[in-house]
Amino acid sequence: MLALKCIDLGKAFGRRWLFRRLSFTVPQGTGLVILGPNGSGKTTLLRLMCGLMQPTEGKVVWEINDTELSPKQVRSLIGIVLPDCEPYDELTAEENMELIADLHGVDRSSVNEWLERVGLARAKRQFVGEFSSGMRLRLKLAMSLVHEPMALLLDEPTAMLDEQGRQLVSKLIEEQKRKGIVIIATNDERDAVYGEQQIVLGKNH
Amino acid sequence: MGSSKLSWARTIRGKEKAALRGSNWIRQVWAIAKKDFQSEWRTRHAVVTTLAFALIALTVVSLSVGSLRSEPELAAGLLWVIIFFATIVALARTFTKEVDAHTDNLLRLNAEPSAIFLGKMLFNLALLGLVALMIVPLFVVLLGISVKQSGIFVVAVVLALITMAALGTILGAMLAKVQSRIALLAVAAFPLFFPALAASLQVTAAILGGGAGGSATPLKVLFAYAGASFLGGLLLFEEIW
Repeated sequence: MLALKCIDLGKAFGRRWLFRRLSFTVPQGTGLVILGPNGSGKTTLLRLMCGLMQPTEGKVVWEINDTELSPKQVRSLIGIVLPDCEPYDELTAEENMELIADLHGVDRSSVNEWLERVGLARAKRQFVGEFSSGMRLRLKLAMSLVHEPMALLLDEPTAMLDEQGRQLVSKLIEEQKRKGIVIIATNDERDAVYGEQQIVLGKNH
Repeated sequence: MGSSKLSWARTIRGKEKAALRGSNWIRQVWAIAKKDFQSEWRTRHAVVTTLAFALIALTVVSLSVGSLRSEPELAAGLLWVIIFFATIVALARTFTKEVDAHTDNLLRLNAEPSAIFLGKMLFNLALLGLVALMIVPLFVVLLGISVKQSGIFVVAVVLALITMAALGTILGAMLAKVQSRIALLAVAAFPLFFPALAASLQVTAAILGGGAGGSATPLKVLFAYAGASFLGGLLLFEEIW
């Protein structure tokens, strides 16, 4: 069984606390939506969960089959869509996907399947530098899922998508929840439906 | 795709996880190096800037000093000054381009730090090799120098390049997010490169002087320093990345 535990978590930049004493558990098969205005620390919380940042106080623990692991230890088992985690502009969509597949030791045959699923099959030989922001987000989603992660961390996953894109995200989130955990950071309250749990940042800190 | 052919629940189990990591490590190294080669082939940024610098420096030196056939120490010094600064120009973009394009986190989240180090180092080594392949023959021709023990000379150059690629990769990662990184890279690289530069200089001067006498000790130093730089980089990279 899988669970994400945040225990008395706090992050400060200088003397300014983004959040403090944050405690919650996300069990397998569920989703967590992190809501809050810009600058409230949503993306920072996602970064703490995947080990890209260290908390100022408290800790993040991934519990897998009764074994406690740090975010760094499980990094390769997480899929992440973050604003500062971009694909390579000078590579094609297919090459970017193959890179991620190779890094995770995944069969390259799944690359085309995923590109098709996110609606980029026709653009697979196009350089990512020529992509629109919506196409780029679709590619980032495919790149985060190609290795079948145990947890999917998404930052504003529907912000640049049309209605068709929103439906795709919705479907991918529901599928991922059946396999593991989904955590979504958003300031769009419509996205709250994706989570069995919601936390709101930027209120009391 | 939907079924769990690579299910996390299976991969996390102790030995299976270790086996997956071990077998995949080489694939990661190659994927990162290949990605850098592809990017460089399409942009040619590092190759063009490095070769432009090297060729300009070489032309200015050859025009100002003419033939250095009778001054092997000076010739060796000028050659390694050009190689050192060409190396700095080449290595400066290793991680800077990743940070500027926000792709550094993509690597951080998907690859083992040691695989990133080795993949990047292999690319840097190939780049430096290309630069040396252009500079050294031109230097020999333009400055009218004869190289008699070319085998030993090639070994010395290769060992020095391995050292500079390994240390440059580490320094590049450390300084990637710092402002004025190229100037800092040159300042930080010099003391670290110094043992390799000094030994290469001795070997080069001896060979350009007409023989390989006295090359054995500096070659041993170069070999040991190249090995230490490579292993040190491999082990320390995780701490700084």
